[in-house]
Amino acid sequence: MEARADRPLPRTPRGDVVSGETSQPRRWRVRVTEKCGGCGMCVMTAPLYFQLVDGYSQARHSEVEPDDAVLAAAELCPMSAIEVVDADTGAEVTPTP
Amino acid sequence: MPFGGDAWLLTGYAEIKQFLADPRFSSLEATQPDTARVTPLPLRPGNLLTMDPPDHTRIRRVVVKAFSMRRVEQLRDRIREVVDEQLDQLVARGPPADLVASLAVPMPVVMISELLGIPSADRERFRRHSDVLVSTTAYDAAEVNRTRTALEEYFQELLEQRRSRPTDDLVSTLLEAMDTERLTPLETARTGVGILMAGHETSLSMISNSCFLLLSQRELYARLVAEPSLLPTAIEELLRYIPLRSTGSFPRRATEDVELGGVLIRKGETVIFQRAAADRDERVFTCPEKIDLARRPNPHLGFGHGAHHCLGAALARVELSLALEGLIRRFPDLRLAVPGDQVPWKPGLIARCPARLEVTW
Ligand code: SF4
Repeated sequence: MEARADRPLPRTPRGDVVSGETSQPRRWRVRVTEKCGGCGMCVMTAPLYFQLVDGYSQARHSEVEPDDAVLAAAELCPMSAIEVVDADTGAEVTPTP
Repeated sequence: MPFGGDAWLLTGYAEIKQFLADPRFSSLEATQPDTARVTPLPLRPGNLLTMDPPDHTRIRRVVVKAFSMRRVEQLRDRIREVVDEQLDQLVARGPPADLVASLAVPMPVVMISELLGIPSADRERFRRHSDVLVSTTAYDAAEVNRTRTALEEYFQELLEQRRSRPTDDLVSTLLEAMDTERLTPLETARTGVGILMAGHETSLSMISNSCFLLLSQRELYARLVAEPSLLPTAIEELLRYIPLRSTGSFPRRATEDVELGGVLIRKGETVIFQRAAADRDERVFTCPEKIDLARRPNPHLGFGHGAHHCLGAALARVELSLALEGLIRRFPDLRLAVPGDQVPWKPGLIARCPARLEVTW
């Protein structure tokens, strides 16, 4: 809670979808699907993880350490085109419900 | 420009996309009173439209969930129900009827009000106000100012009420964000008013304009009746083809010298763009003047681009699609009751929209 004020993106990464499990996954798999409309929002939100190639977004790395910026981009994507899954279990990593 | 001096106007697709994705063009800077613009007053700071990242990102993230595709899919049945209620009333009253008053206005108003949690008794109040807010010449600066303040006060009241009786809607989400994101009551109210306005004004214009276009070139409507499976691409084509704005976009200002399309734009200068021109750019769209209901691909900029890409894009798509789907399913013989060139338009607003659309069936 206290950390919130000085962080630009104030949520903690979560990967607690599978049967209420609360342990953090070690890796996330990130993919931009064909629903991408190329608006560039994800690139602006999380430039370390996304780039525009020929006008559409691509994940720079298919697997990443959990980082809130990735979830922010997935949440902000107007086309819901960004998939983030737990690399171990394949379960969807959803932002806060 | 009518107010505030000169501005650069962008018309090319590539240039507009580049501009919209470039953080050196600030929306917040464009709230200064000397910004070149078409509206009597500049936009106010403090709502999503006039924020820059990272503030913009922070606030947008608070509200984005209410508009996600997942959330909109959950609303689909409710939207269909609202459309059907409106169309039932059309049937009951019989032709002729005004599609603007009986479908295009009420449906988006109901939807955005339910999403935000605006009591139904208050909806008429903001409906009357919203034309004033998108005015270029229809209302003067004093009137715009009064209306904005009235709406913000209304929203602050709503937040206060909600504080004692929390509910499951966007007003309550905003209320929570006042604590977690340190939004001031005024910022919260402005964000709320911004969403409320944007959430119905554009949607109702888009539905009205789409009906006008399909019925004034009636072979288009007939084609949709015969081939309803074309609806998804037809929606995108309507979004591309219909200008929706009678003027250029809301302005942004350069925070440093930027070269764009071979032109040097200096720090402090204002830039606007004409989205409709970009969406007719023949370098991107073949036969751009032709309405092709099956056009694919169709990378139009109807919802903008970059950080300010329309928050309500998914909702707008579903609203438009269900409105048209309802019409073609239930009124295959729908046609204009007056010649297309006699349809009255609302003058003096940023939004380009028929005032009435008399139809018969
Ligand atoms: S935010 Fe979504 S639609 Fe926009 S570029 Fe990124 S993946 Fe594509």
